[in-house]
Amino acid sequence: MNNFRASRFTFHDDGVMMSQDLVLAKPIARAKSSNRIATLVEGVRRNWLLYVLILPTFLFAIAFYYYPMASGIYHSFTYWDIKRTVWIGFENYQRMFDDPVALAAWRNMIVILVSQLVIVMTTPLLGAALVAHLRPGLAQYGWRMMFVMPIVVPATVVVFVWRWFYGGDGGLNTLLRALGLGALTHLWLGEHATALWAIIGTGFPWVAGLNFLIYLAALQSIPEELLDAARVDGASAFRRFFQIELPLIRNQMMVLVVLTFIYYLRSFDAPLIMTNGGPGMSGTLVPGLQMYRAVRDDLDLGYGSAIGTVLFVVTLGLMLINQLINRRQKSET
Amino acid sequence: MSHLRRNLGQYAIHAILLILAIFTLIPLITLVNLSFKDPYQFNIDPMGPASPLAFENYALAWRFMQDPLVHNIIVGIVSITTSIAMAAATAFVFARFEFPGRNWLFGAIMLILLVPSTVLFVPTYQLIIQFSLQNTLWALILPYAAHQSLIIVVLRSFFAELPSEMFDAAKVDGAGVWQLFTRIAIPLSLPVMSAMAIFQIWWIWNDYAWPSLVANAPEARTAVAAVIFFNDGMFRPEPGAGMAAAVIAAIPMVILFLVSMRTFVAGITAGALKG
Repeated sequence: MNNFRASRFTFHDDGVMMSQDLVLAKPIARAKSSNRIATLVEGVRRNWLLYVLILPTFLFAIAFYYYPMASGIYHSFTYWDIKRTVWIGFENYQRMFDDPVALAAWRNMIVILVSQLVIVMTTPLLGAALVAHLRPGLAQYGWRMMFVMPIVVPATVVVFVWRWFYGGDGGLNTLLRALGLGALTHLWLGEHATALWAIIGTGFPWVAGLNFLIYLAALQSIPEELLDAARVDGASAFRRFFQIELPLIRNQMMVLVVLTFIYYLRSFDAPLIMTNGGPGMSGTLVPGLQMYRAVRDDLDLGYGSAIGTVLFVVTLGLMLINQLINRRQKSET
Repeated sequence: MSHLRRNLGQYAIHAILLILAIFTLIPLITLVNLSFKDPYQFNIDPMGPASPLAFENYALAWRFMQDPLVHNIIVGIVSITTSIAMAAATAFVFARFEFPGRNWLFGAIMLILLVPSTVLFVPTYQLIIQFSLQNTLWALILPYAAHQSLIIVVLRSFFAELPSEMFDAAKVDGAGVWQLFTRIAIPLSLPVMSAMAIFQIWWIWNDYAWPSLVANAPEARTAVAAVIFFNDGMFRPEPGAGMAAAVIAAIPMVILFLVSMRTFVAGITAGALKG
């Protein structure tokens, strides 16, 4: 039996417990600050077990989030190869702005980002809308499963297969030759004109997955009465979709847009596995991959930290903008 | 008349969905198909059905993938149990107790959700090197165990919404914080925790960049890192075996999904939306 007995606590209606001592008012007049410190210390001492319970989380948080974050930002201003750290000010950042390879990386990432944003707002939504408009039953459930299941396949495996597809003797070229379109074959991942688009194209038709799942849930949560009323009024299926369903799932779509944005700002698995950033120096390079290579190949941790910090700032900025937009939307409605 | 028209609409939907499904499945079916092809058939006729089935591809791939699979399972189990245990305790405390600094501390945890992995990548790598943990499973377990903010958010709202009657009887009997936590809160939250656990394992299993950087040696390789290493490294296996390795890497996730379908979907949805 531990020190905490139920009688030590008073209970509010919402179930929140408060240490009784904190609730007591101190009638004796004292200097305010020492009074507050005294109650603070007592509060900590009374609730020692609570602090112990949250300590492990905080230890891990400090070790693997706060310290690395500070270290990363600090070291972005240094030359760092683990053995030594040399302060070089903004040199890493200067390099990022001057280096054409780095600029190409950012350009590639923007292309990927915009493409993925277009994708996330169209194909999975189309798939979800189709399934949502099916008559409820086994068929609808089956199709839902069909487009949800691919989530389980690890992304690396998917990228791996597509890499083979894009190969010189891969599936795509083989199919083209079989159809007599041999002239259209390319070294999809090896040619500057096609490499980036090939990577973006991975996952065609981009329907199955988490986006589909969320869109479907959103569409299916629209009250049937709204759609029935529109149907009675003679609205066609297209009208109903664009004027009722789409506006009602706008929030979920925004969530997915933000998630997609944040994901593709930092993800570099596909370029890493499919082309290692090529063809050439920067055909499909993205900043995240640059950072990875700075660590793995060049042991230039300072530069890598700088890239990481910039991506961090950009991500943070976008999230703040997103919050602002949300807040303004909420105050408008 | 309208009966026929409505059915026509349904058939049209089925037709389109069928086309989309075929295109979605072609890469996966091709993967499995290729994994059963001997080198000759792989090169001459990659897209046709494999026959005879080259099971030796799987024998070869299994020898290579065996250890990585075990690594993944160990890393998954250890990091998930510890992270959920820590997160549950933290969530419970923040959900149902007042104490000095409560809001600040909770804000500190929430702040973490804003930090993307990019800025952490390099320094965490240095941390691992500094403690000579590279190429050990700890390089994976420890950072994954720290990945708790999401779980804390979900569990906190779960605990906060529990009606106080659940705890009242026990409080009257003199139960303390620990008893309330272990005897009441945890058992009630098992479904939520399972969903979170599944989300974590899916996320861990999918992670490629980090393991390929800090744990690429045979002693610590993960499944997906092994697939790439097997294919691109010094082994140069028969291409069919390379595909077989990829299939082997995917199978545990497929099994997990089949066994826990609803929880799987719930976990991933919650994880993605709250994150």
